[in-house]
Amino acid sequence: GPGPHGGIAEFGGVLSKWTNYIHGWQDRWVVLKNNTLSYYKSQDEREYGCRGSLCLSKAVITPHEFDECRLDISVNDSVWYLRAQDPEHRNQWIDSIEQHRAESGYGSESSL
Amino acid sequence: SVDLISASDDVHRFSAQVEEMVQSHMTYSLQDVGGDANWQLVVEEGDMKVYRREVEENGIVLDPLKATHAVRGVTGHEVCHYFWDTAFRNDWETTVESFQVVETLSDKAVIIHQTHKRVWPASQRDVLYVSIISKILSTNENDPDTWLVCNFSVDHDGYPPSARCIRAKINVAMICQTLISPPEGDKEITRDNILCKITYVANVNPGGWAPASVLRAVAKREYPKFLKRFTSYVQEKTNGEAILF
Repeated sequence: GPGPHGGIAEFGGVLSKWTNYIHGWQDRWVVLKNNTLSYYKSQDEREYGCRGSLCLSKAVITPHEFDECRLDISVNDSVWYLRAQDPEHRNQWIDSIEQHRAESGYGSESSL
Repeated sequence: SVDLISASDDVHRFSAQVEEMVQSHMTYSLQDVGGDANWQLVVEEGDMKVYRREVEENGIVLDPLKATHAVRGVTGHEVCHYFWDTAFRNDWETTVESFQVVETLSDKAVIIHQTHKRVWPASQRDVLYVSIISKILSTNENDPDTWLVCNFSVDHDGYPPSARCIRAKINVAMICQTLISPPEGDKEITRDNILCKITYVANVNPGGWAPASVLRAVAKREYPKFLKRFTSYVQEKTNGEAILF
């Protein structure tokens, strides 16, 4: 599938997301847009509204120490656990999120 | 938004009141009071924060109390189970002199009468309340289910207020949500992956008169003590046991 590419434009792709203890990891359609990460059950269900979203302004992105496919994104107590197809795919997502955040004017110290 | 599953299979004469109480706690008690100037943080210890609002009516202290805690290695179901089931009450409760189950309304609801140990110089208090345990399903895969125990005062013909004690009125809730982080690889979920977020609210009208300074000092001392003791008890009881989700 297409990898994420940088730039402020919208970007979407499939990531595996930890849902809950019954359903565990599930493929979800994740969208990066307007300094926000949103997710949908699938690309087809975008028009039915998103299942959840995180504002990236104060989000902390943590690549997992041992699982090279996994990245955890947290805002205060709220954490999304995500897994990419492979380590390179994960790094593309991390880079895209960081670049998107920077271009939205929220990236670290460069914003003022 | 929440769906209540307790009502349909748990019908008794207090069902409607129980449902109303549960909905009210789900709507109001879970709201974050950390940045709310009406609430003052009175005790903070580790992950435990205890807040209160100072409220007096006709010289009687009614301070609403609210505490939040995060406890590792236990689920909300387990926390509520040990809080609700009277079989374990004497293991962790230190302020009660005696209690009895007055009536069993269903397998999730009982009526309890209890007499508290006297706190000098105030008179002794007793309390008569319905105690329910309930699971509220999340409507969204991103949010956890909620387990809740609510204890609220009711009247019962067999247990009128006596001359020996002052009858206090309570509305207490223990509200729990379990956060689970994914285990490494394809391993099973262990207690290391589990964190229980607890919100505890207590609204107590002590009845009669008692000096405000004594009530406030007792509240500030006893609630944190209870929360620490009770949550440590649940950790000890569940350690090494299968997880009750």
